[in-house]
Amino acid sequence: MSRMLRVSNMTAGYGTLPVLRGVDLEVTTGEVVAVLGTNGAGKSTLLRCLAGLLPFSGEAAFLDLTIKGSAPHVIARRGFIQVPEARHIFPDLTVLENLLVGGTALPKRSDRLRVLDDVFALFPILAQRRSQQAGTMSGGQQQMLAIGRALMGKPKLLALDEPSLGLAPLIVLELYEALRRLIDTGLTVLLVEQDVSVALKIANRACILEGGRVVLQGSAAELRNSPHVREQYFGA
Amino acid sequence: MPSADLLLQAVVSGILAGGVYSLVAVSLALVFGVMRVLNFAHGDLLMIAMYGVVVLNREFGLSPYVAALVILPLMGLLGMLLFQFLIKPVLGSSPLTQAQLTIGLSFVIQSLLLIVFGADLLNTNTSFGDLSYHFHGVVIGVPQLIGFVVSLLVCGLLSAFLTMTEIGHRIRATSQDPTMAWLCGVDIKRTQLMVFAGCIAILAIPAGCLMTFSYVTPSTGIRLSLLSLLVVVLGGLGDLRGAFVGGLIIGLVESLAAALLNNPASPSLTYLVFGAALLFRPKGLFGRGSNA
Repeated sequence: MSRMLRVSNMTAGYGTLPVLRGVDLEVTTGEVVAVLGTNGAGKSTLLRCLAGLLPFSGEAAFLDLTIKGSAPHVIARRGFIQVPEARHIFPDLTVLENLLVGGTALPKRSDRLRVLDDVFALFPILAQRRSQQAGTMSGGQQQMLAIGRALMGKPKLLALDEPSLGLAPLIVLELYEALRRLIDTGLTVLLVEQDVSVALKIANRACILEGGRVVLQGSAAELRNSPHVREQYFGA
Repeated sequence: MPSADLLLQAVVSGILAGGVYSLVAVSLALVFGVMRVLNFAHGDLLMIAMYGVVVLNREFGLSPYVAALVILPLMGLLGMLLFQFLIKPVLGSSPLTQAQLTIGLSFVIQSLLLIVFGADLLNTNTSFGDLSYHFHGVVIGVPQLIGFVVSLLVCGLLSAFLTMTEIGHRIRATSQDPTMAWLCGVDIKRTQLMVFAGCIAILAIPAGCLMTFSYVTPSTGIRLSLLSLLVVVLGGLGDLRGAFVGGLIIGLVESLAAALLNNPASPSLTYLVFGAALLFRPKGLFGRGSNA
């Protein structure tokens, strides 16, 4: 198993307000790693730093690419693609156009069209709605579109920020089923979630972020049984 | 009260002029959409192209249309330089800073052209400048008609490019959510550069059309800048379809105002309509633009 992402001693914030205070994280190929924590723990800030959107101190490398100083499109084209919180689909573009924009990370048009078929196979609803204006779809469909769009770039590492946020429980279930199928194809995933129980079902490993620090990490089973997690996140 | 014939004439002339305004405004709206910079010097850049057409026409005897095609790549190059050295540094800064910069650019262009060409009215020599069709008492100038048709055609091509090509999708994605487009792998800085250069290059076309039936002085630019800003705000900031329809409306209002009022106050009607639009449709004709 080779290392895909390594973050060491990452510190970042907005202005003088520090949000991340020395985060260490590793993701190896084929793994599903969950980053858990409450609102404001620094989860989204971590992803923004990894996407090249926010400067940070410390080190972060994706494969052989140094993330620090790399522009977001360079990181995406190398194969580290994110589905940001709140989906951010392009509302006035059609479903198909959204997906094609996601394919920008692939240089060859023939590759993009091949991946498009895979995405349509994974989310048949997107194929049915291909000509619909994306902004008029339901929240769950938009989340599938956002994931499909990220998959269009054929990611080696897919980062998902709160994919279940604001969705009905049934839709969350459906979404995680699709994710499960993706992971079974060997996709490496970095999953940021507030919903600890649903995340631990799908992750191999997880770390808990609190106040900008990793306070706990281990296998999903270890975390499920940890007294700290039970107390803080399951209320038991 | 003016006669029905006069009104009809005003409507036809207004729509023909409006088509050219539409093209100018659509390119301004696209620039705003993709880089969130309102370019107050857009009409002045159009004026540079108009002077270019005059020079090529007078020195080399080129028809304004041919001259426009020669100037088009040069305008693109000018657009690239302006983006790199003026626009890029102010991307994301406050609207006031951006406005100061582009208004300053407008004055610089106006002064430079005044130094080089003087304040005289300049026009072109063409063999077809006075040709016109007479149709039920309405006179349709051939140059105006060509300008209208060409402008519509270019707007149509631009729209097809934006909706039917992958580069077009990326441009629209960048305009809707630049950060997300960036995360998708779109090189947004390069997209912005190409869009700015392309939109400035396109100005050569209305410049060629306008110079077949109009004249240019160093103050033409500021008039056209104001006019196109009016159109873009009327249409809804960043809404291309709104800018297109807005161009036709402003052309129509301008022409009708001149026919109905027929006095020096008539241009004020355009601003009255504009004010009313701001009051009742602050997000543009179709309600899809940014807040004005």
